[in-house]
Amino acid sequence: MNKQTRASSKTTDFDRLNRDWYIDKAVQILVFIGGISAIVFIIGIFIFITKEGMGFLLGDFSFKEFFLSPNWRPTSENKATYGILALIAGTASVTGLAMLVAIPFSLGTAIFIAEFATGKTREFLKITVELLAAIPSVVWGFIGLAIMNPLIIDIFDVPVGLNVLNAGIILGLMAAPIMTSIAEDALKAVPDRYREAAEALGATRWQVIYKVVLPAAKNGLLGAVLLGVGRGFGETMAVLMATGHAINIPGSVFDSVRALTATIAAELGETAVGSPHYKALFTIGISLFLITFVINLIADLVVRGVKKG
Amino acid sequence: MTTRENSTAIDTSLAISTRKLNLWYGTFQALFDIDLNIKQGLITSMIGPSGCGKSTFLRTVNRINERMDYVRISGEVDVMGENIFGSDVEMLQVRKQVGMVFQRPNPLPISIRKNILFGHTIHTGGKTGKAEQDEIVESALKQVLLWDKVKDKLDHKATTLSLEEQQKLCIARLLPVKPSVLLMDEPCSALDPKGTEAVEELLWELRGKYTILIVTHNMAQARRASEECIFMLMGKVIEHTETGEMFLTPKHKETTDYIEGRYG
Amino acid sequence: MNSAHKAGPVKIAVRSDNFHLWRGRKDRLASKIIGLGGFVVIAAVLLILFYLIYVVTPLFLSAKMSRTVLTDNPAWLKSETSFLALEEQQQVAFRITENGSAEFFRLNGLELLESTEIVSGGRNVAVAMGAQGDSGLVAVAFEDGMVSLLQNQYSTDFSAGVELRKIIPKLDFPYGSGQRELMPGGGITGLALSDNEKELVLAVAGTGGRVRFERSLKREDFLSGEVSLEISVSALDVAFEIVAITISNDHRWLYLGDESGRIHFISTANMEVIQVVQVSDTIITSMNMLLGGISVLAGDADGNVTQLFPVRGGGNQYSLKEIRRFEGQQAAVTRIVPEQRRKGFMTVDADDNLTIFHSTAGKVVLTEKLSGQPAALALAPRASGLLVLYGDSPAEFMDIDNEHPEVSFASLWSKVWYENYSGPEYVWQSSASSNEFEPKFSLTPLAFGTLKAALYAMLFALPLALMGAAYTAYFMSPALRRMVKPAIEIMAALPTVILGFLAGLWFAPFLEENLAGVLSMMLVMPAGLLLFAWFWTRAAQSARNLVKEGWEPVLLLPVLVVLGFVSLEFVGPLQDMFFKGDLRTWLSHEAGISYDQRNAMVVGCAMGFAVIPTIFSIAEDAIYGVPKSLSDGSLALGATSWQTLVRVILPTASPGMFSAVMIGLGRAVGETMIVLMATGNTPIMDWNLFEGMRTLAANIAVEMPESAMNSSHYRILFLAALVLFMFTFVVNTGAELIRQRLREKYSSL
Repeated sequence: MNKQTRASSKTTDFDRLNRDWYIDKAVQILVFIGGISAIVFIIGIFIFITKEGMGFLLGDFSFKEFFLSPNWRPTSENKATYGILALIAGTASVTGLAMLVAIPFSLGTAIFIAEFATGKTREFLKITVELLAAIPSVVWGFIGLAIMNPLIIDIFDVPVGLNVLNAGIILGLMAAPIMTSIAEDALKAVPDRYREAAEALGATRWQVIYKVVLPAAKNGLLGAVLLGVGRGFGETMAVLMATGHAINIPGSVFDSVRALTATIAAELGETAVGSPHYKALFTIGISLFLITFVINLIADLVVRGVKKG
Repeated sequence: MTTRENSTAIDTSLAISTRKLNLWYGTFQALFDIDLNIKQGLITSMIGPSGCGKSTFLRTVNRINERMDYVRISGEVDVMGENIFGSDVEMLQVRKQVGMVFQRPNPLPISIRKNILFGHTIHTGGKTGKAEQDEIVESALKQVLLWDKVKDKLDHKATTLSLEEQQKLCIARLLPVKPSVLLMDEPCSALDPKGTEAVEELLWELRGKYTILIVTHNMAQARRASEECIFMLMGKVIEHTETGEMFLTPKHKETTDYIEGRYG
Repeated sequence: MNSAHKAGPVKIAVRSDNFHLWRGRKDRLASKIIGLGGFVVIAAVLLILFYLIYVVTPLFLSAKMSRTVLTDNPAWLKSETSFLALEEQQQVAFRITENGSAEFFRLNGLELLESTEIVSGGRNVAVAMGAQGDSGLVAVAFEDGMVSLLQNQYSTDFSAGVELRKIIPKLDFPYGSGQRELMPGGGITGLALSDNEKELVLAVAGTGGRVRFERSLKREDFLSGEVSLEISVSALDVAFEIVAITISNDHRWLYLGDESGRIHFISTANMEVIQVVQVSDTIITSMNMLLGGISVLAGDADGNVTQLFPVRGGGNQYSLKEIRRFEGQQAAVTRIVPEQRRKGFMTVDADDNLTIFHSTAGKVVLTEKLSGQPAALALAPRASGLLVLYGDSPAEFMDIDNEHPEVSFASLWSKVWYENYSGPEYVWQSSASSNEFEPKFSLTPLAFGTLKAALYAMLFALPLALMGAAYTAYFMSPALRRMVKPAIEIMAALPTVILGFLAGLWFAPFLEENLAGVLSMMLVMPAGLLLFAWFWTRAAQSARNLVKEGWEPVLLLPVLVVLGFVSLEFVGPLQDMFFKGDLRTWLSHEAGISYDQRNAMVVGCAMGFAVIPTIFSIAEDAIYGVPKSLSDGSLALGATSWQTLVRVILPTASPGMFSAVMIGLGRAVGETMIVLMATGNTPIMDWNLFEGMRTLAANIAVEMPESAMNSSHYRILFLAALVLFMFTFVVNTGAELIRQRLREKYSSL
């Protein structure tokens, strides 16, 4: 009799285990599908873009000319040239200026929110930063076009207000919220016990921040900056509207420039599929993708505090 | 011992003296009319069940409780004869006098050397030369019996040390600032028996030169490592006597109950 | 109290040396500067917000009117005015006196510039009527039944400079100075005219219910360029007294108002009464056509004004429908004056009240009590000024500030019955070439489009991103995770321009070609993978040992690709069986679901891609951050991994996951580039997955560069931006609040 009971109970347990186990595995698979399809699709897109652009890089012209020549004249009738140096300079200058604007502001705000503000002030500031982040890029572009443009012409007495300065300030304000967010997270992540230790030793509030918190958070802060740079490189709409349309290497902040993203947006719709121009634009797309990817990757690694050497 | 006699000869004033000290966390009262006189140069321990107010008291002495907005304090606290709440007293100066070691070792995430010099640098503005700095570092580490172990890795991050070494480091970094009182909030609770022994040894070395107030959950530690003992319960001081006396002949029933383990 | 440096204990220093004082001050200074950083951010936000609001506010401000009394009436103004008009610059006015003189006068000082007898010898005027629009054509009907056509023209003399420009009036007779006999015997009570390129049309109503309709077809001689008129006259006799008569601008319809409150809707082709509509219980006191000549405005003795226009029904039959009623007057409506360039109009009632309305917005813009019952009224072409003649009392000039009458909450957000539509609709159609176009500013289709795009994008992105995050954070081997996580985050670097372009130019046609295949992929792949997994569990242990624990996903990659390929290629027979060979045509022809190449599915997938990395990142961090101890505890109780994931891990990570979803949603709502390139930008209101949409963001991007600064269109686009802004802000803030609540509920740390 014992044997029988034991056998039956054994079967029951085993059945139950099987069923649950199957469900478990099934769910794992489903969840996996979700995740993996995303990766598969990106790889697919990347291959697609590369295919579109590669023909260009390999066939129609030289690597050197593409990256080092400032002459972007894809529709020229004599000889179309595809040098993106001026475009790179455009993107770089605008992003650079944007960082000059954004870093002090976002760092200051982040420090203020994380270390000084309390209760209501904190909430208010965080909400304000959210507000700033909520402004659609289209609106920013329009602000550049309609407000900053005449303002710059007035204040600085220059002929054109759609230039590096315009786009730089706008982009800076656009990138600031996310940078503030991440910087604030980084500062908050510094364990309180460090602050306590420093304070117990007699440091002033500012000394605690400057000597302890900032150095401890420097990975996260650097990550925030890089993310801002990444954003600057990839922003299309606002930059399209605020930089003017001159393709040249800027000599001053008052020069109009054209960014890489804006070039793609403006010209892609009008090129014949498969033409050298089309391929060149895709190549720009790949380059942008790679640049932003590298920046984001570095940001990622830095934020995780990967030690070097 | 010589040091002790010396200290009593030079100055009979108390290291810490409080009168009618009350503290509220918001609406919750944590300390009730604390009147304590802690003698200089001694190791005094504070014992009592969880939540009785020992840590709160400790943190009041170096005014680090005030980091939180909702703390309210009334009463007087004198450290080395000065009222620490006086209107002309800078909080930062109080902290120079009163060093604190925390329950969980919290060396700053910088090198060992920089940890030791941190307090010193902020209080002197970094005007000391390298030679003098080296001296300070060596002296501090020697006092905490850590010099031999770390003298070759002064530039390594302090967080790479073992827990017990970290705690010693935390004690060491207080020394260059030349405090007169050392407050210790359960300094050994994160350490293993060997570490605990090492730190207790160190404390015994330091007494006389410094007044040490140590909060501990471990009655055995209080018994073996302190000279005077304070028993607190529910925010009030129940008893404050010489350690040996407290454990052998406690004067209050609550003390007896606690010591005999009737509640923890 | 000095700090003595003794060997032992040291006293606390009070009033310490300068260094420490300075340290404290530096501390406070630093806090202030940092605070400044924070406040600059606030300032920037507030400035932008205020600027947006500043541009939008005039839309909702009420109109204003101010009056100026002109000099006392000079002698020449004593005669009665049959017709009054004002020119563009509001400097010179034109009137026709009751005894047949056409006069131009300057408003400033009421200086008479010239006076011409229309018919030599003078003739008494019965009725005079101007044509719609800017032509300046006026028909004058005399008491003897003859009608003259003349034109008031103006030119500007800039010889003295722009500031001192002079307006030079000219009286013209474009159709000859002769007269037409329209109503033999006289007795003309009403007159209507309409002139376009093809023909000139005149209609007169006389006593005893007589109607005469004259159509003059214009024939242009190709060689000489001369225009000759081919005139035809039709007559109609009705049994009632005609109170008012108007013609539509396409010359197809004639409207007669009677004393019983009815409008007779007549087709001019055969002069037949198609329909009689009862608009009021009392007399129709005034009738006129709105700009564009489509809508009829009828005012009655009770002060009501009704707007009607013909609506096409089944079988090409037209019926006159009552569109809306305006209640703004208390007494009988004595005049209805349409604006020359907008769809607004004014009425005057028997109590001397002047009311300005706007038809599309369906609202009363302004009411003002006049100084008396006007003898004659002229509205300036830009509707910014009104000249009122009072007979004996001095004339007055009213300055009108009514910039945005077409905007009201109703016109922006509810269904409006626009001209030529068969019913009220939500339409966004902001401009066309002519003034006569009725601007349709409903934001509803745009808001709907934004939501539609965002929702489909989320539908696509959420399962992938959240499941991916859960798998990566919880089940995946750490080594694989270190590769996968950055890979997905790379996606974030993909410029949306490229995504949009790919979606519009590659995916959209591909989807149209292979609709069945793509849809089947979504079913086949999960099913196939599950099947594969089942076989895998049955496989020999030796085979399974080939794959390391946690690395199974890599194995499934090729399976996935194969399944995808299979479903695309082999869906043919299925299609033949169920869908008559092609799913896409079946959808539009058999199922009645219209299919647009650039549709919501394309946008959903593309935008989904754009937001997946964001959602994945944040959700994955949240799930990964749940302490292992919780998981251990649950598994120790005997729960399966799935149960642990769903009941323990996910709830704990819910604040972060919720945050991720909300931020993704916020991004989807504001995304412009992809929508621009991947949809046809059709502002429709339909949840149909296979149709496009137009979003607020895309609309702003497309229309902003072309809108006239400070026009209603411009300001409404800013309003759209404000709406978008507010929405994103609400979503973000709401997300933050709920996140805090969730954090409190599930905090375990």
